[in-house]
Amino acid sequence: MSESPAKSNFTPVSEATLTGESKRFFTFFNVILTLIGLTFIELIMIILPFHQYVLLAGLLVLSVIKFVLVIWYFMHLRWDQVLLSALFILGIILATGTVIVLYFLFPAGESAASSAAPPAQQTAN
Amino acid sequence: MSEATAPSLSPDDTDHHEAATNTGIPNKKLAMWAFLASDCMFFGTLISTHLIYRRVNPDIVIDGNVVPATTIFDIELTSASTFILLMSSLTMALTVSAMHKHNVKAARIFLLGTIFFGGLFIGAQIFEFHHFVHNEAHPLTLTNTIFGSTFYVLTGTHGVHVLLGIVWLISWYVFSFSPKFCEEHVIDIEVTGLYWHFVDIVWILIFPLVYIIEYI
Repeated sequence: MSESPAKSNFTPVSEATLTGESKRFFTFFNVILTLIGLTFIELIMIILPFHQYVLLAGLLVLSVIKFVLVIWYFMHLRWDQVLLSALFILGIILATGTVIVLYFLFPAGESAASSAAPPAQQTAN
Repeated sequence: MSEATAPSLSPDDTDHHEAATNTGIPNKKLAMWAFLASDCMFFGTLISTHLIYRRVNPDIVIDGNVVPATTIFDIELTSASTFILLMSSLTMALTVSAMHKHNVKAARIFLLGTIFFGGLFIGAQIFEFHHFVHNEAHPLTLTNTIFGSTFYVLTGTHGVHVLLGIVWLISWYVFSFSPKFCEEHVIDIEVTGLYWHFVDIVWILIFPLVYIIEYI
């Protein structure tokens, strides 16, 4: 009963659209598997004995890859006009610039733990 | 055979081809992208506030004791939340794809999936907040530490975004049964999808910058 009004309001789509969307269906599954895999790697990384800066850089790179995958495939920027990408990238640049500038504007505070003990602490478990 | 030649937008136009606007992009879509670009800056300030206060005040002092953030956080739960939100992004992408194919029945199923995963994420966040606030050893509230203030404001604002997204999705699900629901709404659901994916990418950033960074 609920299907009848919908059917009358929607005309059949072209074969090209159907084929294109079917291809995307599999692309989306590949993307989600990659995203889950990258999240898993993020979690594994904090257990492995990497240097702090390597870990930070690694996490940042993984996040950027995940970010790009979502906006490129799930948000359809790959198939959309370049103006939309430019618009969003402008927002990203402003936001990232704000974060970086503000972060380095303020001096790092002294940790009670680091001033009392040698800096070789903090084991992640 | 895409001869749904309405004067405004044909179903294929609502997809990724030229629309009948000056920019060649449907106005609703352009407006949503502009909004998301501005929301980037909004979350940018919240994230930077949290990071700055973590830098300026490295110690989380609760009831006179220095408490490592790792003893507060539950990384397993947060990882599960991340997985849940990623899955909701997949179902949302499949909803939009089904709508492009004018397959309303499939779109409804995927829409329900998105609502389910979104609800699950909110449930996990409420559980997490409750767990933090009522922790007997070191309760973390909105007001007892700067860390608590910036953490709850940032993750809470994200949670509110998710909640609004869920309400939006539920309204689409209900409206999809209306006789008024038609091809013109394909672009509206795509715009809703953009919002939902944005909420997902914000979490993709919050997860390492707020949670994982504490374990390094």
